[in-house]
Parts: sequence; C-alpha cells; structure tokens
Amino acid sequence: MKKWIKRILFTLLSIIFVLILLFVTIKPRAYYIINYAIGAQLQWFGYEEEGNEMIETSIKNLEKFSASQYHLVSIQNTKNGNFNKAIEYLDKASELEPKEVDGYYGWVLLYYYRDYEKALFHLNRYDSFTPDFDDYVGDDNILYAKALCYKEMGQYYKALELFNEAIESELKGHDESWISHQLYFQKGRTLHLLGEQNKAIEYYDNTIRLWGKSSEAFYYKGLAYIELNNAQAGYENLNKALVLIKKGYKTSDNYVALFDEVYQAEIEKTINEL
Amino acid sequence: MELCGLGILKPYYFTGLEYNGGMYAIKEKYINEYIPVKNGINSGIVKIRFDINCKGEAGNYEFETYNLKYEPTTLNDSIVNQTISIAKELDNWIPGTNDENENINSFKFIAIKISNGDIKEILPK
Repeated sequence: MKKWIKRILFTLLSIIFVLILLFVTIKPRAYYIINYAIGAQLQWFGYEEEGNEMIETSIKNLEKFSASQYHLVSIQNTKNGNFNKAIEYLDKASELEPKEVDGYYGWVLLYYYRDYEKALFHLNRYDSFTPDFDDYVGDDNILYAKALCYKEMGQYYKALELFNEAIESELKGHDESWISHQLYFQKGRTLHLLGEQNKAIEYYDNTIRLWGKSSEAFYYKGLAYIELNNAQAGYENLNKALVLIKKGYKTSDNYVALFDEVYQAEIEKTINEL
Repeated sequence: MELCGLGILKPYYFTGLEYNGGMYAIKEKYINEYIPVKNGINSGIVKIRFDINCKGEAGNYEFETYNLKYEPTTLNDSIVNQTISIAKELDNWIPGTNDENENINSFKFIAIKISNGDIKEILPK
C-alpha cells in the first residue's frame, strides 16, 4: 500500500516539476499565447494595466506576433478606451496584413474613434484590393461606411454620391428588403443637412417603409416638416417618434452611439419647445 | 463609493449600464458647462474611466490624455480639470444588471475629443 502511495506522490511531484520547468523556467510559445489570452481576459474585467502588461510581455517573447493576434489584442483596448494601445496594435496589424485588417480598421475608426480621415485611408485601401467587389466592413457595405465618413466631415455631395452607389450595390441581385433601413435614413439625413427637406422626407419615408418603428426617422421627418412650416405634420411625426422610443424602439448599439441616434429626452425637449 | 458584493466589475456594454437620458444628456451637460480653452496644448482626447456600483453610484475616477494621433500626452490643465469635474457631476446612472436582473457593478469610460479647445465629440455612448 505504502509503495502505491509513494508512486502516486512521485508521479504528482514529477508533473508539478515538469509544469514549473515548462511554465516558469523554459516558458515555451504556448505559455505566452496563454499569457496574452489571460491578459485580454483581465482587461475584460477592467484590469487594464495588468492585462496590457501580460499582453506586452507575450508580444516581446513571441518571435512572430501575427497581424490577427495584434488585431485581437486591439479589440479589448478599443472597447475599454485605451486608444494608444489599440491604435498601436492596429497600426502594426495593418502594416503586416493590410488586406486582412484595413476593413475592420477603417470601420472601427469610423464608429469608435470618429476619425474620419484616417478611416477613409484604410477603407479606401481595403476597397482597392478588390476593385470589382463591394466589400462589407462590420455589418456595413463599404460604400455606406465611406459615405458616413464624408457626411460627418461635412462633404455632403460626396456622401450622397456614395450613399447612391451603396444603394445600387445593395440592390444588385436583391430586392429592397435586403437594404438596411439605416442606409435610407443616413441618405435622408444628408439631404436634410443640405436643406433639401422634401427629398429628405422621401428617404425618411423609405426608412419607415423598411422598419416602421424607426423613431429616428419619425423624429427627423417631424423636424423637416416643421422647417417646411407644416407644424401639424411635424408635431404628428414627433409624437410618433416619442411613442415609439418610449416603447424602446430605436436604432442603437451596445458599444457606441450611432450617428444621428435619437433619445427620449431629446424628442421631449423638441416637442416642449414647439 | 463602495463596490457591491465581492467588488467584481464588468464592462458597461455587457451589463447594459445606462445614463438616464443617454449620450444626449451627457452631451447636453458638457455643452452647458464646458468653457472652451484657447491656449496651451488644446487638441487631444481626455479619457475618463470610472466604476459604477450596483446602486448607480460612481467613483474610482482615473484619466489618460492622448493627442489626436492617440499618443499619450499632456493637455492644458483647464481642459483636463473641466472634463473630469463634469464627468464627476454625472449622477444619474442606471446600474447594469446580470442575467438574474440583479443590479451589479460596471466599469465605464467617457472619451472627450477636443480640437482647438472646443469639444468635438464625446464617445462611446
């Protein structure tokens, strides 16, 4: 009996010794891969410094840190607002494999950083790799993402041109139900910003045809009617927007505010000030 | 501010932490209270990170400043002090919840993008 206990103890101690040798002294590649995965997980729980230290140690010790690995470690840093780290990693990833990374990089710069010029650089480069194909970045048609950049930079005519191309691209081989209601909505917003209220209302209506609960489309449609001195129609649409948003209907995202996202307090304030 | 339970934090986008009035209310507060700064290094990003406990109380504020190329830098003190003070006055947080719909601790950040002393953008939501 004692003999068996000795054997078990010896085996256990040997395993512990080998593990210590591997993960404390030798530290093979797998150790650093696990290390950066744990670092990323620590960041998820808000331990920014500890997480990034583990990630950086892994990067230094792994001879080849790939573009996809740089991309991966950038994500949590973007989500936590560690912009210096996220951009450092994304720049490295995009330098190594622009074909793989530029689409995501452009998209994340657009939505999470609101850095439109840099976003366009990466989106245009990504688009140039497949000139005959309209890529998707995130959930967006790349032409739509580029249009949003121009719209937010105030270049409305260029934005309209790209929104039109995006609509045309989406309709290739599909019917209208394929189109995201946001595409019509953002074209409407651009027309609205150009002072073309009637055309904007047409596109807010197109949005509502695709998603009848778009409180943002009703809200801006209401504003457009008010600007056209049609207070009655304006008021009706603002009220529809308010009813919808109170029921929780609006276009939003868990991570970032969307462009022209509307809020209940905003609609209420507009109605109260009429 | 004391964190609830064991003090475990989860990210705002996971717990569904919200500010009453959303980003609209946060922006309104900054628009109404921030005074543009026209001297010193006055373009960059102030990132303010903080925790919100299960009661909706905020605390443990930390900040970092970046230039518009996302490199760590220092910004005019007035910009940093104002943006942090306003963040600390945000007192209408709706705590995040877990799968059992119990209120839990969250961590959150606000990044204020400043160009020539004026607020250009407040991120993320």
